[in-house]
Amino acid sequence: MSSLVEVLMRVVRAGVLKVLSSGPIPAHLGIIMDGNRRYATRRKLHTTSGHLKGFDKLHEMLFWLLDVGIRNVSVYAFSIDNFKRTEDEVRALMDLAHEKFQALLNDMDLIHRYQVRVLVTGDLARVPVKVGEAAESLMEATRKHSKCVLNICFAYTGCYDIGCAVKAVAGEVERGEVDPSEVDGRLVRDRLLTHGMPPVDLLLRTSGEKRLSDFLPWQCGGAHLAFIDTLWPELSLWDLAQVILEYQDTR
Amino acid sequence: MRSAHHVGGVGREGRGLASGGLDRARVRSTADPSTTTASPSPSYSEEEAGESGVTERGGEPPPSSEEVKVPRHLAVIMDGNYRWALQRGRRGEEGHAAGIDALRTLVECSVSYGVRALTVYAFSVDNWKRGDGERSFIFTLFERCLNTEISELLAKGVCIRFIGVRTGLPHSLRVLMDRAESLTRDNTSLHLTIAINYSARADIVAAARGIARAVSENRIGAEDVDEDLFQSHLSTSVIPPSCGQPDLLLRTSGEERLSNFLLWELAYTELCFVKVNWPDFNEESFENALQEYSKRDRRYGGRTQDQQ
Repeated sequence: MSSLVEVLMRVVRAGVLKVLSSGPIPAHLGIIMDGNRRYATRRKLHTTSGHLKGFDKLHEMLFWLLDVGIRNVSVYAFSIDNFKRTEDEVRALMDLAHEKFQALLNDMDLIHRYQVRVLVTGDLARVPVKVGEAAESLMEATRKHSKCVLNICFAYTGCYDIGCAVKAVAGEVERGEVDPSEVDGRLVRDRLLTHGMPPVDLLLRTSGEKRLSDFLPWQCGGAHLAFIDTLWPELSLWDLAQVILEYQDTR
Repeated sequence: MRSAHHVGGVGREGRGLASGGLDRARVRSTADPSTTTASPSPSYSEEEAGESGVTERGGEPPPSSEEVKVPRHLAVIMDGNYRWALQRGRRGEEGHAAGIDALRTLVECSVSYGVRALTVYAFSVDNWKRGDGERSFIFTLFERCLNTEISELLAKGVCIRFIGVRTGLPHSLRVLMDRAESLTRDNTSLHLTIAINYSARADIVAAARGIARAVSENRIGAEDVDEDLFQSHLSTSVIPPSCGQPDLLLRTSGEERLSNFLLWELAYTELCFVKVNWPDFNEESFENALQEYSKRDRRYGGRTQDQQ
């Protein structure tokens, strides 16, 4: 009986994919994956369980999004502001990140099949060495993939992103490589951590909070913003499909 | 500086208001401008990360949990003038004229509720795409408005400033803008910042270019460049630091996007999108926005108290 349900689900998913593909697909989807801790609290679990569930949800959603035809996905995995949390929680999150980066490195089958280039963007100097090294390895292993991009914003804020771009420009000016009159939108944009990626055209934040929390501010300047109450670990494909349909309505 | 102006109770998620109605008198008394210090925030403590934050206003009794929070700095994208006019079978220009009335209401409500800073998006660089006729009507409307409203703004103690690129605007409008800024320079009741011919990305680029020039002229070294220096080069640095960054952004017309408005500044701002078109914005809309703002729980990346 359960295999019949599975077959039915696959057929329905294929149907949803077809409907979505007939409308405009966002070139770059940004996701603020909020609600892991609330999910854990409501189930009286440790917050680490919530974050684990959150990672699994990302894995589940990612390849479906790529099937829909979205070529660039940026996710807010860890903000520089999250360092303000308790030492225990930060350590648990860093351990989880390390574990998951390693797991991806050890099982690259789907990543190779979909030709996903993985980026880990943020102030990696702030994270434990082992996490930084795992992130670098993942980026190196997928550097030549060119079909789509998964940008994991980790130890990231927009303030840091834009700040780095401006510092880079200042350095180039000081070395005589750039003249101040050449500083324009394209020059600044190409020094952001997301250089090479198109602007975000759809941003989704789960768990009901309605703010950007300094996620890709430059990049989201023209994005349609979708806020849904569902907690990230509880997000379903129907929720995602609905968000994409609403985006298509606005176009 | 990203601090919230909490006049009412602690912003706890899911608290809401006990009743649908708003006790205007009670809100007014705690937001009375005469009890507000005009100087940089000695009575406000910055919200600590990880706490939902209670801002102490020195010497006042603790507010009741039913009171509404008033954002210290309110930002508004005044969208929907054209749609309003179309829906009534009128010309777009009439929508813009009606929009001025709504702005007047917004300024009055802001002063009366004790908002410290109000930043509004009047004209975006993208609006140049509109027809010559509509554009020149809008600029004439701005000029007429600046002429007729200036004495009212002075009487209310509003300090008016403009951000955005002035080259490209009609000379007559620029003269009036300069005059309005200089006449109201010393006012402190409300810092009203109007974005005309503004684009947040262009503003970020201009700030980067300004820093680049300072480096090339050896006024600063590249190693001196940090986020604070960058922020001081943005056009919004004309807003007194005591007002902080916007606590609440309101956009009318139902569009759910920032449209290149204050991107750096809106990092932690609560966003509120309402379906009413701008000319229909009234005092009730303002109160609804405050009620919505009061329900929000601002965590700045940390935890709320009920998650400690």
